[in-house]
Amino acid sequence: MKFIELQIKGFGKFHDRTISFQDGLNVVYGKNEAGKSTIHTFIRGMLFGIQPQRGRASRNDLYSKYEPWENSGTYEGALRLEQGGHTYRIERSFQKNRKDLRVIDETLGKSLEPARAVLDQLLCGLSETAYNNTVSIGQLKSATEAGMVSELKNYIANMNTTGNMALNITRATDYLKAQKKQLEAQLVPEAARSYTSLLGEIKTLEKEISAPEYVNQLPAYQKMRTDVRSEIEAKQKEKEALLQKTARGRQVLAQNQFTDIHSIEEYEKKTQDVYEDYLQTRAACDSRSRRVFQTAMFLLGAGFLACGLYFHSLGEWNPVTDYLFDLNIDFPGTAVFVIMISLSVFFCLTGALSVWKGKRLIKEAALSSQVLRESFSRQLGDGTVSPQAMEAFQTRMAEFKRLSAAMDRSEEAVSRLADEISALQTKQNDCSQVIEKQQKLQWELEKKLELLSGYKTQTDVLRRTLAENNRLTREISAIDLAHDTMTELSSSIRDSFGLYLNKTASELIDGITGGVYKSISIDENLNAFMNTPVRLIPLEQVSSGTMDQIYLALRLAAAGLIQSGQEEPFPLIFDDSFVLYDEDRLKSVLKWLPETYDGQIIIFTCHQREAQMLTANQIAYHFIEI
Amino acid sequence: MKFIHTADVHWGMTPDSDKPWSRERAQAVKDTFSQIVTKAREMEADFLFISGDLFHRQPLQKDLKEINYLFTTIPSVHIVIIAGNHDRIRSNSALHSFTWCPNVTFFMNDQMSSVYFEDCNVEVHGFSYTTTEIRENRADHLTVPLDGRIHILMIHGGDASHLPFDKNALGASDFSYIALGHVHKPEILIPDKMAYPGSPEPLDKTETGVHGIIRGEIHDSTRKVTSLEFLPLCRSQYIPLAVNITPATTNTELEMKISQEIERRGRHHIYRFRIRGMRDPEMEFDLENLLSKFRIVEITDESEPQYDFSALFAEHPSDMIGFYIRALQKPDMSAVEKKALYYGINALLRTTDERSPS
Repeated sequence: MKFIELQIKGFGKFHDRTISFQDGLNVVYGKNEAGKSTIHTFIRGMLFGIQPQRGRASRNDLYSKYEPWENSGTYEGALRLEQGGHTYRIERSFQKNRKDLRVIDETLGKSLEPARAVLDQLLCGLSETAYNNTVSIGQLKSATEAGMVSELKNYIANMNTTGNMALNITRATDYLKAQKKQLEAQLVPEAARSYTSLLGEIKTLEKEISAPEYVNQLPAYQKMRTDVRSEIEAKQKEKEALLQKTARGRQVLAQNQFTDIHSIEEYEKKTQDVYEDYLQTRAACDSRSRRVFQTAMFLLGAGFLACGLYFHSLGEWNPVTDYLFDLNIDFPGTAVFVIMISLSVFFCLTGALSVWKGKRLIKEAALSSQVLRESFSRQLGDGTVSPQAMEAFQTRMAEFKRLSAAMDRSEEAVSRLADEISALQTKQNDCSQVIEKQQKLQWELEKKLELLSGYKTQTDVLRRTLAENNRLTREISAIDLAHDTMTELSSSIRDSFGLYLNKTASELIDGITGGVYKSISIDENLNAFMNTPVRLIPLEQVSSGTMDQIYLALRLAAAGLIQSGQEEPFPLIFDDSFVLYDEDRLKSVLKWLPETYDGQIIIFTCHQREAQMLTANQIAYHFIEI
Repeated sequence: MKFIHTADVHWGMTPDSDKPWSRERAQAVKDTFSQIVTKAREMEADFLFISGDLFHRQPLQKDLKEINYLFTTIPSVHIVIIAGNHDRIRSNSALHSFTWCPNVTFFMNDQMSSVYFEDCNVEVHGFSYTTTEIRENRADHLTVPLDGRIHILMIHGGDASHLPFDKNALGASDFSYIALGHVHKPEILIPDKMAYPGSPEPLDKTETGVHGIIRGEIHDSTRKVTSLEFLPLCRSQYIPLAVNITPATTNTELEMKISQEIERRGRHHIYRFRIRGMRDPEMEFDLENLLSKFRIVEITDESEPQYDFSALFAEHPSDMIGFYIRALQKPDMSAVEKKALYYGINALLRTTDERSPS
């Protein structure tokens, strides 16, 4: 391919300007600010268009930079070129609102559609990047030597590893590493472990909580306690009632001066005895025999006294003595008298004794009756001593005895109740203790439940952290994949393209330096060394001019590689590329270039020396001054 | 007979526990419940049905006291409660020894039973959970005696592990009203018959929309529901919003867009944003500022950098970028591969050596 003509209608400072190129070497000369770069950019714009850029790139937005200076309203032009024996005209408008591209085959005299595809075909797939990388060649930009070295090294490394001078695999992977590090810093690595241990804690706690000891038995025990309490109350009431009853009974007994059943029995027995005595004495007092006896005694006494006196009066002799005498019993009359008197005295005495005894009996009876009357009047309210009264007394005593027995029983019952109550109270106390224990357990349980609740809330938080960790891990694995893919690709680029590039570049370097440097070699760490016939020189040690030469060789090599298999090579464009070359070097390069490169060569320069040198060396060239 | 029906209050829960507003949310859960009580008093309701999960976890003595206090303030309202799967009644529950105020009926049994309220001629049927799950269908085909009473059924569940029941079979029963619980989203399943009131206060970012209670009225003689409506009551809502962006969208623009949307809808709500669309590859959104300013529970950036891969590939057919695209881009890319593609291209484009031709 070769460029024939540029028709600039409006681009930057140029307005309706036509520039023609010839086959072979073209030197475009212009002083600084003459518009070399504008033309350079125009060519690029014609081939690839000018995209208004965004973001970071917008600061050197070519679109606004090269908008026509004059307010012509046209921002367009045409590039005529020849390819495969046909002449084509590429017409392009850069205007934002009406971008337009047309490709016209002048040989056939027709417009080709679709323009874009046709253009791509004309360019043989050469992309803008590849164009920038290869066919459009500037000089190394750095002003200092050290800067140049690193730039060239970067270039070599980039070309070797990414196939693109601008793509820096090391920086790209470092960028990825930094991103990964940043993401890793956001990871909470202990979250998973904390989560697991928390789940363990929760499990343990839940097991503890479901232990049988925590079963809420409060209602059962509280009911039991209430029941016991009411039972106690009932029993207490019963006991009170009994106590009152016994107290009353005891009072009754006490009023009657009884202490217990024995005292009643004793009293009854005594009364009984008295009564019996009374009855006896009364019977004795009242007996007729006694009176008959007394009367008889007194009569006998009186009789004997009378007899005695009669016999006394009779003297010695009396019928009795007579009678006795008759009976041969000698019995003095006096004796009879004495006997009679004695008998009388005896009977009288007996009678008197009996009367005395009777008196005493009466007295005794009165005493007994007095006792009985007292008893009866106290017990029965009526002092009459009679068998009925005695019967009533006995009935009453029996009542007392029953009462007393009942009291005894009641007291027994009271003491039994007291025992029962104290047993119940013990039970109640036990209940209370159990309840207290239960309450304590419940309190313990509540603490555990609260803890559990806290743990569960924590797991919620951790779950979210884990989800975030997962998300970050996915991002990190994406970065890892990106990193791995890139590294793998770069080594395969190096193995194929890189090796080939270095080989081609080595041949070019040999030619461009006139055999001073034989080849370039690149080690694993992408350090470049220059081979002279005698030794290896690190890139850092070569002169800046040589560096530019190496740079040129590499770019030419890359251009060759990219265009390999093409019949008509692309025009090579040099933009102030030889500034650093000394006379000798420039001479050899200018001589060497047309020999090496088959295609059209366009050299933009701000010096006259290229043209002068070409003329001096009788190399054919076309001179264009702008 | 007028009633309020609620469920799934989850008293004691701390929603969004890792967010600065979580305490406030925990309080809102309680406040909204006491508002329900207030509402019951204001509308002179005869019944307050609480169909399970009143408590978030096994209630503590103090929780019971708090709630009971609220109930004492509405002595004329019959409060009927069943326990759900969250607050299931375990053998160690404090409920066993708790004495409710007289207007409260708590079904303690795990078998269906009923309580008759003579003053209102209402018989309420229900049972409580004592296990975490009930996998058998215990609710369908319940029969109701035709005894002239208003019969109400309280049921907690509805999914496979929590009392799976057939909505239509249950709906066909002769209960006047079926007070459901368990599903946190309010829904009247069968008009004037059966409803999930949902959580009165939303508890999770997934529980979007308005939350509240069900208010209803049953005719005393026809024993049919004459009105049944959802009554919004919640303090805050979870609002999910999708923000569409274009490559022209800037960080500030996005921030303002989100801020304005939040201001318009109310700062007290809680938001979830999903950022969708294609973003400028150069752009990385940083919305930390918003997170500290508003209640945003989550911002998911689903936007993708707008790389024109075919253009990039055409531009770089024989270098790393082209190879990289070719290595990773394929029709069914996994999410990780897609991200890897973006990460790689981004890294390559961002680290180019300053060598662009002038």
